[in-house]
Amino acid sequence: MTGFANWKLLHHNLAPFYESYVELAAFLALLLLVAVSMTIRRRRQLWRHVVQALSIAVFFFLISTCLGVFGLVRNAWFGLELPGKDDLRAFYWLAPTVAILGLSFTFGPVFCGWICPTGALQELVGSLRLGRQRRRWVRWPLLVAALLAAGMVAYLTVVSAVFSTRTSQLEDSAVLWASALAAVVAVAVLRRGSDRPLKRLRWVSLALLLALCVAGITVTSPVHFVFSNVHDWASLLSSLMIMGLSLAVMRAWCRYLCPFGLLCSLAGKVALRRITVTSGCNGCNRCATVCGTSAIEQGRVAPESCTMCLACVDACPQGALLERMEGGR
Amino acid sequence: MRRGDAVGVALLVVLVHALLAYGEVAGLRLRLPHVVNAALLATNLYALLALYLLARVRPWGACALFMAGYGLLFAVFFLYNREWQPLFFLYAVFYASVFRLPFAHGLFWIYVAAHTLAQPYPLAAFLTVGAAFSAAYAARRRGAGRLVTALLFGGLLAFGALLYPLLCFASPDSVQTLLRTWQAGDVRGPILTSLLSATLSCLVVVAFGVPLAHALAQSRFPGKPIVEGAIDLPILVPQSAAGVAFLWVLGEKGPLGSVMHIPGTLAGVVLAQVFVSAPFLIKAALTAFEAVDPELEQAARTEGAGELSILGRIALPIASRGIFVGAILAWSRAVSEVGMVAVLSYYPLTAPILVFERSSQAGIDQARPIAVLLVLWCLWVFVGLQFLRSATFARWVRGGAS
Repeated sequence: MTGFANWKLLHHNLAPFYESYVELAAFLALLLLVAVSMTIRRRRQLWRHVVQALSIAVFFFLISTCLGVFGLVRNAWFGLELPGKDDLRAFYWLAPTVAILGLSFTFGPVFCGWICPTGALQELVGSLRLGRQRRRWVRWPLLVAALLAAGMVAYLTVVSAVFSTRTSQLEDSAVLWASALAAVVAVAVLRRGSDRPLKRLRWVSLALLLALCVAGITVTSPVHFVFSNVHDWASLLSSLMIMGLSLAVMRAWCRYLCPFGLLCSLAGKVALRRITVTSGCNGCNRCATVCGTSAIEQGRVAPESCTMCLACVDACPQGALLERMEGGR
Repeated sequence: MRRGDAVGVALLVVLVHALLAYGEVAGLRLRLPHVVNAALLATNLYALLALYLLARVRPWGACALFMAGYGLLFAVFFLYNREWQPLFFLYAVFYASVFRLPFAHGLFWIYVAAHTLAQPYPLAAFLTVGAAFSAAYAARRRGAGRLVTALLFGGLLAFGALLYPLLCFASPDSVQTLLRTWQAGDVRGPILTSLLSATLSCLVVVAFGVPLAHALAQSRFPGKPIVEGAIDLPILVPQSAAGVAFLWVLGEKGPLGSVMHIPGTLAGVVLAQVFVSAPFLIKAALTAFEAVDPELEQAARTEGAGELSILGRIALPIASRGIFVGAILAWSRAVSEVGMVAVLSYYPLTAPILVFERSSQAGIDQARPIAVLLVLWCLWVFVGLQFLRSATFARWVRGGAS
């Protein structure tokens, strides 16, 4: 897919560190975006989408820093060995991960809800879903299963048909992870109440990724191709697959398989910034319906799947949900 | 710190950075590229925010500690050596984020110390010390006293230092290198020989060691302390000496050499391994059998149980846990034996001997991948057996209790 060419608008560094190849702009942009997300109070959801669009603009078109959810884990593992040997390279590989995870310890997983391009694209496609369609689907489980199976088969067929550059499609982790997500989504749609147990699959995803990192095998996330210069059809298709699955289950990738999202939410569990329910709650359950990851059950926000998008806080008609810093007055 | 104060300090920080950026205009000799300056400003402001948030929940002592740590990071990684400057941003952001979380904070300093002091294998050092720290921290959280925590940390640290070389020498090998070594062929044979002979000798030791241990635990006779001492003899005797002794008996001119040909065969390897590993099993089994409550056996005897059924139904099941631990030890000892095997039966080649041979003839670099493979194999068998032990016996204990 060379015709696609490179869509990075800049071919030199925006903000080099002492004239080196290392880019400081990504580090600055991340800090800036989080700071923006912290200060906005009015019309927050609108501004959140603006920040997401900005993040896509910056990280797709301007800076060559990878914000892929596998890359953030893989690069960090790679970079952990480097301090003391080659500090510049260590910074290059570690900076995005350290900045994001570090800020998550303070502000919660803001990255997931406000900055992550993978999440933003899923949200964009997922919002195209018309009304309460999902409930109507569940009435015909066999039809849903058949549709999903047909989609998966079609996807794999198309992928292998256009896949001439590699010997076996099994080599491509993006394809594998995307098809795995299709299977998981099928279970999630067909079995009521399976959402919560399926969310634990992120541990499997992370363990697999770390094992492959230790083994020195480079794996790429299904949505990686928008960051790097890997331009093959399979990666494009896996990206489309991830976005398309968001039509069936909103932010399906974030919920069930995102390894970096798991790390962020682990940091978010001990974060200073939390969403708390105050006594004004009258149990209308509006928060649970707007939540993109179904993190709210019976008026309690589960930090392990919260993305800090704050949609629940903004939607609460009673103003009973508040996001505040621990120890705040 | 009140909000107004924090904003004031933030403005001061911004002013300082403006001076850094435009100091030359004002006649000051401060030079920092604008980008680096901006990143430094952002990092400092974030640290300030973290400090402000910290001050709301913690006393001033914690804040002073925070500033001291931040100053130390700045002095070492930003001022002391310009080459280290990129690291300052990473460390500062992470430090400010995890300061209030004792566990993550501890790990952070261990990582910093590992990379500054433990080159060229910082990750191995970090994993070793970090594991010791994690264990001690978890123990403390579960109510261990200060002394116990300190002893645990110190002891694990010393033990980790022993294991540190193993981690270091495994780290440069990728899985691909190891696979190539494994497929090379001349390595696979010795490793399989090692695993096979160790398993065989472990079985032999169990076959004669368990009955012996049971008998010793049950009986009393005048020379018993001497016999018990003699069981430990193989640990004491230098392995090469033991090998020479066996060779003298079993060699071609030896009294038994004309009857059977053991040296140079798998039987020779197994014999050597049985010799060195037997004490570990017998000792463990003896302790396990001695721990069996005699009143249980007495009760069974009065109910009319025969000696064999007492052994099979009471003593063996109760002692089986200890016997299994002994068997794992015996296997581990057998698979790692070099000295006696080398003297008594150099061929068929076992893996430890191959490592020894390569390291003395071809050098360390040639021997290392084989050694890593050997360690990995043994480690997996060991871990698997331990896992099996805990899984099986935990179920038995639960089943017995219910």
